[in-house]
Amino acid sequence: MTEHTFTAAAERHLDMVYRIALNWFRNPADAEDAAQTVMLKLWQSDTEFADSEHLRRWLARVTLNVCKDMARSPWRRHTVPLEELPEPSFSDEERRAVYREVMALPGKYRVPLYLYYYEGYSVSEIGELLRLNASTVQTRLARARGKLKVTLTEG
Amino acid sequence: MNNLYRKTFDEIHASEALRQEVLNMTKQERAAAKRQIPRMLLIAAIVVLVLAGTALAAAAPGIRQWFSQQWRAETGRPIHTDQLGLIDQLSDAVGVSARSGGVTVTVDSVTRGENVIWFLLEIGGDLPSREELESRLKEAGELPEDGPSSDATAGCLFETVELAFDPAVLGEKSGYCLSEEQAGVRADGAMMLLMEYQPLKGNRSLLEAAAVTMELSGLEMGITSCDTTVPVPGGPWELAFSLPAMEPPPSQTKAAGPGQAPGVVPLNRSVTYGESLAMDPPARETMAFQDIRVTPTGFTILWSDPEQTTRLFPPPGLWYLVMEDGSELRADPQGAVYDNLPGGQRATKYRWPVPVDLTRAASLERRYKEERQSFPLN
Repeated sequence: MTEHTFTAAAERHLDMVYRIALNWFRNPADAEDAAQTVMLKLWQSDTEFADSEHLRRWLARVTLNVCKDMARSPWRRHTVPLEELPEPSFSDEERRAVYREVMALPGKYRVPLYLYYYEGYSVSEIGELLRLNASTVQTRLARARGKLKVTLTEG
Repeated sequence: MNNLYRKTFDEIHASEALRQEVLNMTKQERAAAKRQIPRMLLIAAIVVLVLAGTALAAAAPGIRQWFSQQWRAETGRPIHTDQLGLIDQLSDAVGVSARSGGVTVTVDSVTRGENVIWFLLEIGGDLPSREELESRLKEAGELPEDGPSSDATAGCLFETVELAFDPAVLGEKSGYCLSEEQAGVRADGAMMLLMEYQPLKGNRSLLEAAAVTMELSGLEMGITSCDTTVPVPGGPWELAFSLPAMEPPPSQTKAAGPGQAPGVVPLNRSVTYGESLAMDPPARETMAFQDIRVTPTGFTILWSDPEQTTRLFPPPGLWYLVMEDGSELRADPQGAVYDNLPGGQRATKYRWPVPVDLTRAASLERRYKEERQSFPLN
C-alpha cells in the first residue's frame, strides 16, 4: 500500500474504525487504542484491494477482530457504570441521550446496530463480519430496537 | 435509516491526536512501526481468561490456585509461598449454598482488600453436559463450522448479580464494577466462577465486618471459544452470609516530602468533563499529589488540588508494581474515577489483579509513552 493510498484510506475510514471500536468498548481510550492497531495493520498489510468497498469491509472485519483480541473473549463479564466513562460531546441533548441509550445496551447489540443503521451493512453481511447466523443478527437487532426508547425505523 | 441515530454518530469522530498518530505511521518503517500509545486494559468490555480446562478440572481449583495462575499470567513467574500466605490471610471460607431448578450455587470463599472483594463460586447440579451444550449451540447455528477449539471449556455467567452489604459500602451516586471470570471446571462437572466486586466512590473499607446478600439470576452456559450462551433453568439463587472484620495488612505510603519535587504526574491533555477528548492542541498541565498509599490489593493517589480533579481526567498511562526479582504487575486502570474523601479531598484508586506481598516490591512506576516516573518502595 502506498503512502498516498494509506493516507486516503485513513482520512476516509478512520472514523468508521473508531466508531465500531467505540461501540465495542464504550470507552474512547480503548476505542482509540483499537483503531490505532487496525490502521497499523492496514499500513503493514500486503492485501490488494479490488475497490473501496473491499477496503471498507476489510477494515470493518479487522476492527472487529482486533476488538475481540483486545477483549480476549466474551467470557469474562466486566461491568462499569456508564456514567463513569468519558463520552463524546454532542451539539444537542437529544443526541447525547441517544448515545447514552445506545451505550447502555449490551455489547452484543451495539455493534450489529451500528453496522446496520449507520454503515448500511445487510443482515447477512453483518452475519459474515461477526460470524453469526443471519437469524441471530436479526434477533439482536430486534432486541436492540426493543430496548431503545428511540425508535429505529426501516428506510 | 433512522435519522437521529445517524446524526448522533455523525458527531463522533476519532480525535485529532489519533488522526495524527495514524498519519505519522507512514513515516515509520513498516516492519518497525511500533505502537506509541500503550494498550490499555479494558474497563467496559467483555474479556476472558480461559484456563486450561482439563488439567484445572482435575485439580479442583480453589482461590489460592486461581490467584497463582493469575500471577503467572500477569508476571510470567510462579507465585511465592509468602504471597500465598498473604492471600490466605485475606481470605475467609464461606460455604453457603442455594439451590434452584436442580442447580446449586455455593459461595466457596471470599478474598478481600480495602476496595476490592473476590468471591469464588461453585455452580453444580443439573447442568448441561459439554456434549449437550455443543448440540444446542450447533442447533442454534452458533457453533463455528470447524467446531469449538480443543482447549475451550464449558463456561457459565450470571446475567444479573445483585450484591448488597450491610452496612452499605456504596454512597449516594456511587456505582461499582463487577467482573465474572471463568475459574475452571471440576472433575465432577461443577463450574467455578470468580466474581470480583469493586465499589466506585465507596464510603467504607471492605475489610470491615458486614452482612452480605447476593442474588444471582439468569444463569447461562456455553463453550468458551464461542460467544453465544444458552440459558440454564433455575434461579434466582439467594445467598446470605457474614464477613468478619479483618485487620488491614501492612501498606506503604510515599509522601511528597521536603527536598523532593511535588509528586508531579504530567498530564498530556487538558480536557474538561463533558467536552470532547479531542482537544487540539493538547495542553500540558501537571497534577500534584500529596501522597500515594500502596496496599497489597491496590494503591490510592491523594491529590493536592481538588479543584484540578474537577477539570481534568486522571493522568494517562499505566501503573506497574515492580518486584525485587524484576517481575512486574500491571495495575487495573480502573482508577479513571475520582473518589470524594472527607474534608473535600479527592483520590484515585487502582487495583492489583492479584494480592501482592509488598515486602518483595521494589517500586511503583507510572509509564506513559516516553515518560517514566518511579517511586521506590521498601
